[in-house]
Amino acid sequence: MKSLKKNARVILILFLVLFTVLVGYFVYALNTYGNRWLTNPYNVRLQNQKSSVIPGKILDRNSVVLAGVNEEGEREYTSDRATRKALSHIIGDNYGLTSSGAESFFANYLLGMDTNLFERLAQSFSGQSAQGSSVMLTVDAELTEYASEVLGDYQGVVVMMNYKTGELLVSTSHPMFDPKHMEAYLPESQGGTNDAPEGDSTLVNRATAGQYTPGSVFKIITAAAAIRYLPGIESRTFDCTGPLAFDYDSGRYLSSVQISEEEDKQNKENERSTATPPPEGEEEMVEETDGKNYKWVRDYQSSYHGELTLEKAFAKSCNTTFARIGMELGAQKLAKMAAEFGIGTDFVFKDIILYGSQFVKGSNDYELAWSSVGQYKDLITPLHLCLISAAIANDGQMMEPKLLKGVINSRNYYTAYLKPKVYSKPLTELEAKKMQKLMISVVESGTGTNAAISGYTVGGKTGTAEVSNDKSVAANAWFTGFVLDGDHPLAIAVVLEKGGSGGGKAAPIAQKILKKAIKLGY
Amino acid sequence: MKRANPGKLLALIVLLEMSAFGLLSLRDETFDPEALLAGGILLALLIGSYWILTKAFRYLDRHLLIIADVLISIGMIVQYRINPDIAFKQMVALGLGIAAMAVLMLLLNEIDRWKSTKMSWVYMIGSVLFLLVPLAIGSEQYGAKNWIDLGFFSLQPGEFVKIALVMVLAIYLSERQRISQLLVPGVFLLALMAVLVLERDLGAALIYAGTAVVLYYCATGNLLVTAAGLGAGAGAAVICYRLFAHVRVRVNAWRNPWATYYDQGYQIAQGLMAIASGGLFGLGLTLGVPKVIPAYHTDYIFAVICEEMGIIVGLCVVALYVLFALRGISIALKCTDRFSALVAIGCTTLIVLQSFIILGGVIKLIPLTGVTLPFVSYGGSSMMSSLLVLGLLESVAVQNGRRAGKGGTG
Repeated sequence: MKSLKKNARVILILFLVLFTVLVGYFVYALNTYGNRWLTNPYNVRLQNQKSSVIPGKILDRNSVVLAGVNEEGEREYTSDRATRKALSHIIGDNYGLTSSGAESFFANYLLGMDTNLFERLAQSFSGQSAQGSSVMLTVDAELTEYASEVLGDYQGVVVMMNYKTGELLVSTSHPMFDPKHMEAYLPESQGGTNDAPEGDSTLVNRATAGQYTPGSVFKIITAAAAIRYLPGIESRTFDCTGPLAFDYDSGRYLSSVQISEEEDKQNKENERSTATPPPEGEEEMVEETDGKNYKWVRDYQSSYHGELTLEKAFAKSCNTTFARIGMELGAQKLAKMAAEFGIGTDFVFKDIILYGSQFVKGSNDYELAWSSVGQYKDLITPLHLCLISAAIANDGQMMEPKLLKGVINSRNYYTAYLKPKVYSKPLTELEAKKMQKLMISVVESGTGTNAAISGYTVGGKTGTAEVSNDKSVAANAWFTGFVLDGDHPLAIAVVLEKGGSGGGKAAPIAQKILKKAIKLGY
Repeated sequence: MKRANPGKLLALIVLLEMSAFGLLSLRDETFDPEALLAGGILLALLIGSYWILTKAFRYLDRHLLIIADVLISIGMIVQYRINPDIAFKQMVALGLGIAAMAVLMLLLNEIDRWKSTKMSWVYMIGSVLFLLVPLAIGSEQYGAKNWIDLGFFSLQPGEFVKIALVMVLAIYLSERQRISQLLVPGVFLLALMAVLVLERDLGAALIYAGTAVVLYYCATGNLLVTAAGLGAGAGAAVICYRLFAHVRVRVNAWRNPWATYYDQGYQIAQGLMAIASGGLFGLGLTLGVPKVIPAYHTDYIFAVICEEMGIIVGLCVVALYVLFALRGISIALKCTDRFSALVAIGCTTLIVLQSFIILGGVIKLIPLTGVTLPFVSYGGSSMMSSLLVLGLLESVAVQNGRRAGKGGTG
């Protein structure tokens, strides 16, 4: 009987543990995913709520009204068409077509679902219809409009943030839509025309959901891994003697095979005249040399850089050096550093739905070599790249990106403020300082000189990401970087789809926007 | 020392019912006296049964009864809010259940007659036959064939057989026996499990197996065999996963309900959206959209509670089951014989495991298996069997009280 009672107590403790786990998980899950569940486009309650609640306003960080309400209590967007369009993906739409915009993602506040019991009672006793809270975003409308203007006709993205607080200052994604005119995307039953072209991606926010091949901007990760895992790398020299050869079948690196600049040129000529483009997604090229089949890892424009330090190789964005560093590191260590920066993570940020990036290890030297320079199956979202630059500029601390500066309830009280939060610490301060130095040399004397701003220390990295083996398809142009300045803690990422050279096209755009931001005092 | 009278807690139930049914009577801006009537009947049932039971059984555990009454009240409010017809139907089941519970307690007054090995054969053969009926003439609901359709209402044998299982296990385990002598109840348990798996009633199978393991551990303290039992259970789960497509569907829906939103993940996703929409204080009674969640009034009633009354009330519901566990085990600890203690532990385990399985399923902690939330969900069989389990537990409490009373320590 005694042991039975002892055992019964053990069972009771087990029950208590079970329920503790239940409640703990419940609270954790609601805290982490609750807003995502609530604002899910499938949630019919949001549309229900819209019919009975006057929605709150959406403001930019300087209280510029992006979305207000008219006298009937219906949603009315700003009359400035350029602002509406530049910020379209940030604002979202009133029909739940874009789930990541403020209209949907902050519906909790805008539709007054966050108000407490007393406020609700007060509202219902006073006889007025229920009113949602207003949200103030961290973005600057003027600056974003300017960024959109500079981006011009390119499809692509500009994102800029404050790397000390994580506040998103600029986010524009081209092509844009107009929240005031959604007819093309609405079925006829809702008064629309539903004539958007098949496969149209206008509504996708490319800044957070566009997964692009990073190309050379991925060398930031490879360089950081080298600094951490290959001690003394900064004092070594590398000899860039042209394309690296790999066995065609096994993909093994053949260090003894080299070709001269003339031969390589000849090969490329032949390739251009005879080769038909291989199917998309494959980077492989077959070449006959001495009767053997090789695959090559080449530099952008097939440069022969000669003797290089790590800093020089980074500044000149030397593919072959970084491919060799990648192979020396091995896939494991490279993947580890990528993971440190959040590549491969499912982000669950409070304010923003950010799609993840990926690094694929590959199964042989050839694939590893290409993935070390951001090709193969590597993918990155522009905001994530901006977070990576921001972490480097912020001495190794990655701040959680923030879009919500404050919530103002119907009686004009702030009910929530922005609280900056460290998301992760991918690098030590020393490692971050070394990376800053590498990135600064890109802008001072490398591929990114177009991003230089006189009087300020700017660091960055360019990228020219090939997205097709068909040479007639222009590469995506990348630039990501930062202003190293305590008063202007800015990080930026720019991508131009089919823009060509990163240094030539993306860097100048980044420079203009950074300059304007500094002028506005950010 | 004077102890506070738990009967005063009934005032809380009165307050809860009056405010909720008062609110429901004003729904749609027209006065609906039926809601007040429903509230009145419910209060009469709960307070009347409390009064009669406490008079009839002096040593009744009043706290336990009140815990159950609060859970019943919350369930009835939600059911009336969803559909007054099912609420009235459920009240019939509640009345019958309370009557059955009282009858059971009277019968169990001489508990010795019920714990002979001879009786155990009656339980066992009766149980297996009863459980087999739905396979022969049953109807299928929500993918499980575990119902007998009686026209005016349907019966779920699995809900009642679990009580017999607790009795059988308590009878055999109350004697110190070698493993070889546990062959009979072991075969019985396996037979029940086999039928349940055939009927696709995996939730019930889980509860039966879990309760058996808990009772075995309490009776013997043999960790090795208990661990082996758990291992066998895990193995069986893996085999079920491999063997049955409907199990794989459940597991996949649990892993990512959003990916399969349009078919398998729909219910879980809808439940999560409902809970998140409610927030801390809920959207307000009648102001939510609970009917988009499949099984909103039965298995998923917890999501509806959270949607309309708020997560705070949801957490209170969880707390009530924790109190039930504390109360139930403390009854077992006051027992002077092994049989009664094992019955009390078994009854507590049935309620605790069942609530954990469905609560965990709804909040996506574990894969969803469709069982009802005891005392709260709609369902006549569920309500009656929960009340019978409560009755059994109360019988043990009454017996403890009487013994202590006779010994002069009470």
